[in-house]
Amino acid sequence: MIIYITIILAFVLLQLIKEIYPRIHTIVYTIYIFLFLTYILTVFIIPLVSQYINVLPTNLLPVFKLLTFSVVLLFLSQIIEDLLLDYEYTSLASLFTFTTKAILLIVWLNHMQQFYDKFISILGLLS
Amino acid sequence: MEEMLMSLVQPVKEVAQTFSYMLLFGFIFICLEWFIPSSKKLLKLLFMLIICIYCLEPAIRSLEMIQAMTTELVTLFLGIYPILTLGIAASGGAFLITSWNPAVMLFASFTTVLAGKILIPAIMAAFIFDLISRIHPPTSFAKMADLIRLTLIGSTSIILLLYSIFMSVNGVITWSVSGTVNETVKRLIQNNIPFVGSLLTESISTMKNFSSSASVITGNAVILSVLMLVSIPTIQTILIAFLYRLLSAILEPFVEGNISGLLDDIGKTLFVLSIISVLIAFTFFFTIILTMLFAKLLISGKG
Repeated sequence: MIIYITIILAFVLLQLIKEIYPRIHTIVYTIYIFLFLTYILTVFIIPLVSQYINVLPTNLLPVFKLLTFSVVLLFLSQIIEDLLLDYEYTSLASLFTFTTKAILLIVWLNHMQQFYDKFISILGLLS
Repeated sequence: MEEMLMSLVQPVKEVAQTFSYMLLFGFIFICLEWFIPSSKKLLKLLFMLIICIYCLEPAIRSLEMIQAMTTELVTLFLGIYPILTLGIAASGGAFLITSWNPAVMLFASFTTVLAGKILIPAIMAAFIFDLISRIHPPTSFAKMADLIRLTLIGSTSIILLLYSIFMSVNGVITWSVSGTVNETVKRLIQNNIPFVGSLLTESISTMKNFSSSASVITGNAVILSVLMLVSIPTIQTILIAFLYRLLSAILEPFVEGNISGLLDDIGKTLFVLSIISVLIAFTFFFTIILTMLFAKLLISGKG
């Protein structure tokens, strides 16, 4: 509920700024988005995740942490990408998407190292 | 007995755990796809990766178990067989009693090395080809995986045929159930175990022939207990393979076709592994009986 109220309040305030100081509107909007994202992360997402992560079985923990990290990263990257597209910085937006995908790929490949080490150790007998 | 039962119940537990994990992850990913619809493709790939990590675990463990057994057997063959052969030959008369061909020893050790160095890695390759085909359907290696499986079944059947040639030289039937029951059991196995059913019954027949001649020396109870002991890995592998196929059948309506297909492929590959494990069981059985024979000859020699 508090998020809805914050968004509506922000919308009203941003409209006001747009009318009074149209030049600083974009910079205020960008700062607001980043501040709001930090607030959501620290107040909602991190406590919620740390609360529910204790319920999970221990062998699922690493993959769940990784999954949560990937989802949060995807969520953030999507919002920032939309922000960049709003200001028509298309190349910057695609660079952002590319970096996110690369990070996810590297993190998941590192996590799966143990798995493909097993494959290679069994296949290694061929040599 | 409890340990034997535990070793048979363990795979069921593992596959049940896999089933619950799949459902849990399936639910989480459905929520995520709804939450971030623009990354649907990426989330699908991550789901496949997670399924690979958790679902292949029991399959790879059974593969590692068979591989560990093979490695142990190779060491055993290299260490004990020259001494054993010499001992039996020195005791005299052993070959007359049982018609055991010394070439069988060489053949058995060759089979074990072949299973460890070629057959099991080939199964792993089939696993990887299946995985690639399912993760990225445009790069399909399904035919390659099928070819590997068929080749493995073919080569195993040839080895089993050679075993039967060696073993049926002088098979004296002393322990056997009546022919009718035997045939019914054979048909039951042939019809119910996919891909390798007929091959499995043939290998059981070969083992029975061999144990018939061996039971002259060791006695039926010992043969039966040794047979039960050596068949545990095979039964375990067949059980895991069946459970994978069951899992794929249950999950088919709920998850994407590729995932249930992957589980089905894992089941098929494990059936092939089970027939290779019969080879290993056979050589293991052969070694135990031969050691028993040696011990018996030593005792009778002293007496």
